[in-house]
Amino acid sequence: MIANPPTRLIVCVALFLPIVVFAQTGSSVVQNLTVEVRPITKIAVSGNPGALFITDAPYGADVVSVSDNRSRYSMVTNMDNMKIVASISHEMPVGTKLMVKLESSSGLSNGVVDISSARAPVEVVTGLGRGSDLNQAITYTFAANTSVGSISADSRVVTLTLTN
Amino acid sequence: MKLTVTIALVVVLLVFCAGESCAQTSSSATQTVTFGVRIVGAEPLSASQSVALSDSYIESPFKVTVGTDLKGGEIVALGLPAVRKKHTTSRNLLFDGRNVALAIKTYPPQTSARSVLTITE
Repeated sequence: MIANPPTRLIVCVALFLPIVVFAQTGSSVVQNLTVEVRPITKIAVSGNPGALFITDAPYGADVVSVSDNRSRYSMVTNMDNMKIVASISHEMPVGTKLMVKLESSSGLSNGVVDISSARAPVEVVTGLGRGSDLNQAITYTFAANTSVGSISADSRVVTLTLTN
Repeated sequence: MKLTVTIALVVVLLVFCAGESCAQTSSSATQTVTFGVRIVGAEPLSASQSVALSDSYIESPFKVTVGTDLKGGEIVALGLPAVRKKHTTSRNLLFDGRNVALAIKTYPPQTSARSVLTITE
């Protein structure tokens, strides 16, 4: 039985159409991807230090002080030559001092820095490069001359800034 | 057409500015530091304060140790005819007597000085 020509044509198309369809072996699309690393600087603290109350004074001492080193800071940056500066909200009472020391494993700590009147930022850590410095100790020291009478509990806001 | 181009430029500018503001070149953190001075312990020594020793029998001689944070003044120990003289601060004072009343005075009078008397037989 040989089919008539129209039937044979239909059969041929039906047989070869899948082959034509699946013969597509490649397909491409193009996307442009833009990447950029912006300057990143972040610093955070673990919380506030404990209260610095002077409650005793050794005999003969001219200055008495108390310290707290329980708070921590962490920083990260992808920039070079960064530093941490500290400033205080308003000056300390006459006859008293507030000092701060920031430990640093990747930078250079300036040691104990007097920020009693540091309305303008003062450097506490310098030479920070790319990378992070995690869980570093912050030590606050409050000192008062023994000639200073009682001072009611007071507070100051200390701002630590990671900057270039 | 011009309006469309202008709006497009403004949008591009806003996007650019937003991107720039995300570039952090400084970061800050704050801490609140609380402080105060409140000496506790020995009572402040008034301008003239007596320490009564008459309640206890003290063999003579006995020693009075005076420690003080008094600045620029001196403590005068009175009470015994034999020791009516001035003594500088933070010295061990040797008294010869019994059942006495010891007066401690500060010169100049200060109300904020803190002193401690330690009496040993």
